Amino acid sequence: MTTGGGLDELCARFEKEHDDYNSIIAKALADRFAEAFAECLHKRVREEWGYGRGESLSVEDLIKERYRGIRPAPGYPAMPDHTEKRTLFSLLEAELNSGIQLTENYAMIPASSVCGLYFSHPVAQYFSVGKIGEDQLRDYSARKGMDVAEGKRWLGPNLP
Amino acid sequence: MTIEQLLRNRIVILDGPMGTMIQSFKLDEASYRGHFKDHPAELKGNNDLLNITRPEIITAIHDQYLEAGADILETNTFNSNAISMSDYKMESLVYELNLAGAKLARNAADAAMAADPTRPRFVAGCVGPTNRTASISPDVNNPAFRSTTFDALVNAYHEQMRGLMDGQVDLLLVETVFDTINAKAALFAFERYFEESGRRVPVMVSVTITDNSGRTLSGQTVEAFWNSISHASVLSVGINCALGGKQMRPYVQELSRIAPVYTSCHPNAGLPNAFGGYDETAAETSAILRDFAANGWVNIVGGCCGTTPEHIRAIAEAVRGLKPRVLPRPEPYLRLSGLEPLTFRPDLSFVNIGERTNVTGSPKFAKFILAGQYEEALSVARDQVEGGAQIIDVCMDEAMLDSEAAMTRFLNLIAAEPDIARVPVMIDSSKWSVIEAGLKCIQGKGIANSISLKEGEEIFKARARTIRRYGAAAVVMAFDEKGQADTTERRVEICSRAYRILTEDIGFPAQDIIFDPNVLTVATGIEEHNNYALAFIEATRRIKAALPLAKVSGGISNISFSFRGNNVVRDAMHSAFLYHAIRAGLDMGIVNAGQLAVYEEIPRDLLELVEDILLNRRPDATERLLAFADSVGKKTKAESRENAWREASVEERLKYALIQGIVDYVEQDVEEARLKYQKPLAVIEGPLMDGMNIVGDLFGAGKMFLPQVVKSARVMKKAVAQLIPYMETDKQTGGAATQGKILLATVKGDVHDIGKKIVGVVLACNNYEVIDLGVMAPSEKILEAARERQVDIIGLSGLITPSLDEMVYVAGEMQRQSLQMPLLIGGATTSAIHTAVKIAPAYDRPVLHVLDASRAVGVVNNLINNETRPAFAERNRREQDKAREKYLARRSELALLTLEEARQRRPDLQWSRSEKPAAPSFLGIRVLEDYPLTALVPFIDWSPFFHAWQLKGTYPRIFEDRIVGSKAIELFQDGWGLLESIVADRSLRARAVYGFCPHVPCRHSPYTAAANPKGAQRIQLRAGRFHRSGIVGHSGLHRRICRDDRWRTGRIVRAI
Repeated sequence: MTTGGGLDELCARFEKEHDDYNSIIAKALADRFAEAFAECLHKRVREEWGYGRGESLSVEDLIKERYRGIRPAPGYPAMPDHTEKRTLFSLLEAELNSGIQLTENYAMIPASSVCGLYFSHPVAQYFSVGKIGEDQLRDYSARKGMDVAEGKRWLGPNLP
Repeated sequence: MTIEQLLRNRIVILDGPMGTMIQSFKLDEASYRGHFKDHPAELKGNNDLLNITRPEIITAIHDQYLEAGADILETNTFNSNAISMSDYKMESLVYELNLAGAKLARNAADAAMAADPTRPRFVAGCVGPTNRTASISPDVNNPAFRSTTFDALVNAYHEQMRGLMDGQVDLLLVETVFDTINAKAALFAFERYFEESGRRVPVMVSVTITDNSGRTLSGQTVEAFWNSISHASVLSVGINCALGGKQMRPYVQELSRIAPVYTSCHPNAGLPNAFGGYDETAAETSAILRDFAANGWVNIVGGCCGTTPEHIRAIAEAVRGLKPRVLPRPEPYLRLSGLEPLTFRPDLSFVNIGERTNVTGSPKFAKFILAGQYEEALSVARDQVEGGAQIIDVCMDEAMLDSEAAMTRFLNLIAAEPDIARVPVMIDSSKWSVIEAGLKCIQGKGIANSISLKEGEEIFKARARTIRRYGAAAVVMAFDEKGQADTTERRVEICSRAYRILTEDIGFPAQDIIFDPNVLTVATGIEEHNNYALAFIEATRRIKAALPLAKVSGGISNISFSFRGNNVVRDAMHSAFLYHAIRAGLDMGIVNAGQLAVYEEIPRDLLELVEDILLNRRPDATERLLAFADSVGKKTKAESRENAWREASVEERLKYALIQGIVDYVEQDVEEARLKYQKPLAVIEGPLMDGMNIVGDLFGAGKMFLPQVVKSARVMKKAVAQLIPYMETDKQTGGAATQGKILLATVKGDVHDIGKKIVGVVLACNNYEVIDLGVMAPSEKILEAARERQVDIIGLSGLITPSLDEMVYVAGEMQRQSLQMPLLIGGATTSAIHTAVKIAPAYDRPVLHVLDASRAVGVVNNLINNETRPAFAERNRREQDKAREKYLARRSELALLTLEEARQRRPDLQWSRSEKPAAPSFLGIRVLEDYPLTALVPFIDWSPFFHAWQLKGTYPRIFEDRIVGSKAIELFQDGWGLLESIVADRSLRARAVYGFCPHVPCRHSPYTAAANPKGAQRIQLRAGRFHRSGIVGHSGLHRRICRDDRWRTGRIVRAI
């Protein structure tokens, strides 16, 4: 999801007036909107999945993740491999459907975009992937269909 | 039976919404399109077009509502106006759409009446608000801009109603009014059509109260709104949309209390849920409306968004047998409005009309307007309102001005300032075209100042009628074909004649007539002028006695014009004159609202001299006051305390503005400084840099916080931008001497730049020239710019982990191409350790990690300064060496589990006892196109907003923080203000795509084989328990989830 459409134009207008203050506020707000969208959509997904229909949670509850299930995202500790965004994007045909593009390093354009996975299981929880050894790197690369050098590139922070 | 007869007998039922019903047919593009096969725009969602392409659907919906018990059917023409239809490129079809829509409802209603002749049914031509607002600018940077105008709206509405009337509607319903100017334009167009066609139908109006603030989108309260449209003789006024009945309750009650016409209410089925749907049941909605009816608040009830024929049926049943509301008979007071009402009740004493926003009366205001300094001109208006003006008089009569344009621009600007726009406006001009231009810009009920019999009765009547049609009150000058009245008798005679013409010939309400019997200057030395004050007071007394309900006003400052320059005497004259005139019945006066002296506090001796003149008590009164005036000199009242800093020297003012972040006076102060210093560069290097140095010091000392610094920087930037053109003509293009040049860039493949921007601003505050290459900057571009601009330092920023590699690459390239300047590294995923281990070894000049913006200045200062640099760089190098050693030592100690070991340590999750994942309600993709931002606002987690500005704490507790609390509040207010305008202008667009994908078992995982083939989550769980052992089993998502692509089957649903 993205809430960055129009942000560049908005900021350009402020910057033309030498108003970095509002330009930065606008960027920060767009980021907040994107995260809020992820939360809002998560609620919708829980309902459409069925298990969330009966929940009644305040915004604070949502922020504290008191709902069932988790929402990991590629590039974060639970799934450090950014290339999984490509997987997600092709599953959802996201470039077409949301207008978000991926850069060569898997950043999303426009800024203020979020992507991730919703998991429903009641005992699902977040975790961090720690350091992994050469054998895991090889195994993972093979399963991803990339050569080890490329696997190394994308798992860099998890290699010792 | 007419609608009025029915309304007298019982509560009348209005139907429910079209949109909700049409949605249930799930029409596709082709269905909407019909025979418009080659139309150039997408037509899906153009519900009104169905009147032509799928009339049977609209008829079916009408039939359902009739069957449910609706007395009034609304035509399916909510958007059938040229402004809204331009979205579909269907402006040319407006007449047809309305004609077809009216006929469909007409036929349905006629058929129902044929089936049951005892029951009348009515067709209301539905007129929506259009999709543009004439009161609000869509451009935050140009609050005077409007995406539509009163005239454009009038034309659009006129065209729409032509179709509706030709289709034989019984009523017109202007609904979902979110901007009163739009509604006034509709009423104006109707009146024009009625007059042209000779055929008239009753008009209903229904306003939308946006939220619990009880105001319309354009900011008016319920009563202010009613005052604004009460001139049009409407059948009913009501409230619909945005809220559910529950939230509307106080506003329905309020409207019922004040409006002497029938009232209606058609609420939404509750507030929208998180997905924009409505949950309130028919039983709930009808119970709420029954409560309104039982309280005697409503005459017409129905449903808006989310309600269905089922709701309408329940509503009709719930109010059956209940007595309709009895119309109140409010007192005939003059009722004006801005965003808030101003009612001239008997207990309202004298009303101040602010006079300073007048180019003929206020040299300061004239200077601002002539120079195009509208921001400053606005502050004059604000001062008046803050000083107690209950109405502001705006006058742009000046030969050098395009007065119509100036009036329009200024009134549009006022509309964007709620603290000014809350009061009504008096549009003051001797040119009729300027008055009319002004009347088109105000959503409240204002005053046209003025008309008179000067050019004869016909023009007088025509203008009065037009003013009435715009919904304003009128000031009538005591002026006729023979000239201006200067005696008591002439004043009373002219006013009486005007009163008779207005009330008897054209039905102008007497309470909306405000006479201005001419305040003329006394103490001029001319004997005939000596009685002017007394004559005015006496005329006021007689007008008030003879002409019921009429009001009297006057331009008070005229009286003392001969003492201009001596404010002590003038203030005393104004107060004393008002004292006597008010006792004679003066209702309001144009005064300098902040400066009225209190009558009782006028020194005795001065008061006596002043009253001698005003009351014409002695022939030498003028000489005596003149002598006194010389003795008191020309004192002026001090500016209000808040503006005391404006009295200081220009250097001090600039410094103050920089530290406080005030932009209001930058332009004038910089200009003053430029003239004083001769060279613009001297201004920058002098007062501006002095101010910024203090800002930098305060920030460095932790006494100022980031949002303030950025505001200060904004002042600096504006000031410098203003000076630059002069510097170029001075051939001083070398520019100010900065401390150094810093190049900043977000690296290739990365797009985030808030942090980098903040660092740039903070550095600029400390007199560094910042060259910002923006985002996604490739290495070559960075190096090329660095060489070309001869920068002193390069700073790289990045958010995502792959950017770390990119930074290593840039560092390597700097080494290869033998660059010399230090390299700074910053951004969310960067770290001191990564910088030390991976980046620093790639480049043999100083490479430093900068944790956040507050550290940037210290680091840069140390690197720029030739004396500190060697030691600073050396210390950094030593620290990085140490960090590297530690890292390598730790790495050699690190004992990783093998993949096999990790797999064996998998957690035992006991699936049988935990809940099985449920099947979702659908499989496939859904797209949310242009999701409403308002629906996202409640989900916002605000804490990170403050963190972005380096204010630490948790929302909302951060507001109580002893140190940053007040800054957080200020930042939040600014943020919220921008958020509101972003939402209103839709300047950001929200889009999303999501889907439920089935999971395919992964053959590499020992877990997935049999135990739970659906559980994609399990993989995550296992890794979770053993996070130290890494990502075993975490194979490619794609392969695991969708090797079989059939699930997708092209099923894309466009939700919302």
